[in-house]
Amino acid sequence: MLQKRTLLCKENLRDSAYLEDLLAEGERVGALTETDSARVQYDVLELLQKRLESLYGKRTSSVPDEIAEELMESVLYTVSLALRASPDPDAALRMLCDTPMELLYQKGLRYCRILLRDVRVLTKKLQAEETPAFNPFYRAAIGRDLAAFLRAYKPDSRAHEHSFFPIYAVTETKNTLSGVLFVRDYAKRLLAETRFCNLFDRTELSYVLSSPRARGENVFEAVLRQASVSVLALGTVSLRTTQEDARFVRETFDAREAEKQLRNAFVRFPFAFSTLERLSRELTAKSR
Amino acid sequence: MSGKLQKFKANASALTLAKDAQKILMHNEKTVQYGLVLTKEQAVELLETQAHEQRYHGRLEFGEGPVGKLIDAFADSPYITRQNYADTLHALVETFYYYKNETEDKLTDDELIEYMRKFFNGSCEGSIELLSSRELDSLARALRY
Repeated sequence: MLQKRTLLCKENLRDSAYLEDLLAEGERVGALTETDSARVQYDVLELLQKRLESLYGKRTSSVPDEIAEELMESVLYTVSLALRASPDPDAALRMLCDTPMELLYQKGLRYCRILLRDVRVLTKKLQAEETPAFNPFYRAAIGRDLAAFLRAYKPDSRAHEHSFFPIYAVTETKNTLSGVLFVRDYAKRLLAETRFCNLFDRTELSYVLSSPRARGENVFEAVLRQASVSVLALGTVSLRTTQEDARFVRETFDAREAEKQLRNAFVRFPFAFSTLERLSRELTAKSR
Repeated sequence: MSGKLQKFKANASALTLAKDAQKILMHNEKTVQYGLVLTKEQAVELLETQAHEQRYHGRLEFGEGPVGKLIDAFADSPYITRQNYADTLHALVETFYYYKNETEDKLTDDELIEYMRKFFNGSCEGSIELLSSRELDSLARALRY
C-alpha cells in the first residue's frame, strides 16, 4: 500500500509548542528559510499587538511583559489549533506560510468553540449516564468540575489554560495537552469508562462500587478488575465473582497468560488495554 | 517570564524596525512647519531607544508606541529646536517608560504625555532633568500613595 511521505517529522511537534516546533522543523528540513520564519514570527507579534490593542488600546500603548506573554500563549494556542487541523505537518507549514495570521487565528478560534461545544455535549452525556458510584471525586468531576470549566474558560484571552483541576483521575490522561483539548480528552475518556461500567447489571454495579476500596479508586478500574476475575475464573464477562474466584485466578494464571485472555475478552475496548496490563500483574501471583 | 515573547521579538526585530520607522517618518509632514524633521537614521535610533526601554522596563508595545504621540505633543514646544529635537525625543521616550511603570499604569498614555507636556513647557522650562526628578516624581508618588 502506498503511504504518503512527509518532510516534517510529526514526533518533533510538541502539543505545547506546536507553532514554534513547526517553524524549527521547517527550518531543519530546509522547507523554510530563516527569513520566512522571522516573517511568521513578525506576523504573530502583529496579531498579538492587535489583540492587545483591542483589549487595552483605549488606555495604553504598552503593557507589562507578563500580560503580553499570557496573551501570546493564548494566541499561539489558538493558531496552533487551526494548524493541527491540517492533514499532516507539511500541510500545516504551508498553511502557516500562506494564510494571513489573522485568518488562522479566527479559524483557530472557531475550532476552539467547536471543541468547547464538544465538552458541553460530553458533559451532558456524562450527567445522563453517570454510574451509581460512591466515589465522591467521580461525582464531583461530572456534576461540578466540568461545568465549572465551561463557565470559566475564556477562548479569547486564555485559550491555553484549562482552569480545570479535577481530583478524579481517569485511567490515562494525555498530560501533554492543554486548554480545551485537554478537557475534551478527559471528558471523552471519562465517558468511555463510564459507558463500559454501564454495560453491567445496575445492581451488581452498585454492589461492586459500594465496597470501601472502590469508593476511593477509579470507578472504571474497580469494575474492570472484577470483570477480569470473572473472565479468567468463569469464562464469562460479569461482576458476579467470589473470593474463591479471585484465589483461583491468583493460583492458576501467570500475568502474561492472564493479559492475553483479557485482551481477547475486551477486544472491543482498546482504551482498557494499558489498565488490563497492570491488572494482570495485580491479579496473578506469578510474575512474567 | 518564559522568554517565548522575547524570542519572537528578537527574531522579528528587523522587520518590525523597518515598518515602524516608516510610520515615525510620516510625522515629519506635521512637524516640518516647526522646522523639525527626523531623518530615517534618527527614526531608527528612536525605535531602538524605545525597544531598549521596553526591554528594560519589561513591557510590550502595540500600535505605534509612544514616539509618535510624543512627537505630536512636543513639536510645538518653544523649548525644542532643530538642534535638540532628536536628543529630547530620546530623553522623553526614556522618561515616558520610566513613569509608565512608576505610576503603575494608573495613567493612560495620553494622560501621562499631557502631564509631561504641561510640566515641560511650564514649570520645567524645557528641562528634562526637572521634569523627571521633580514634577513626574511627585506625580507618581501622589498616585501611588
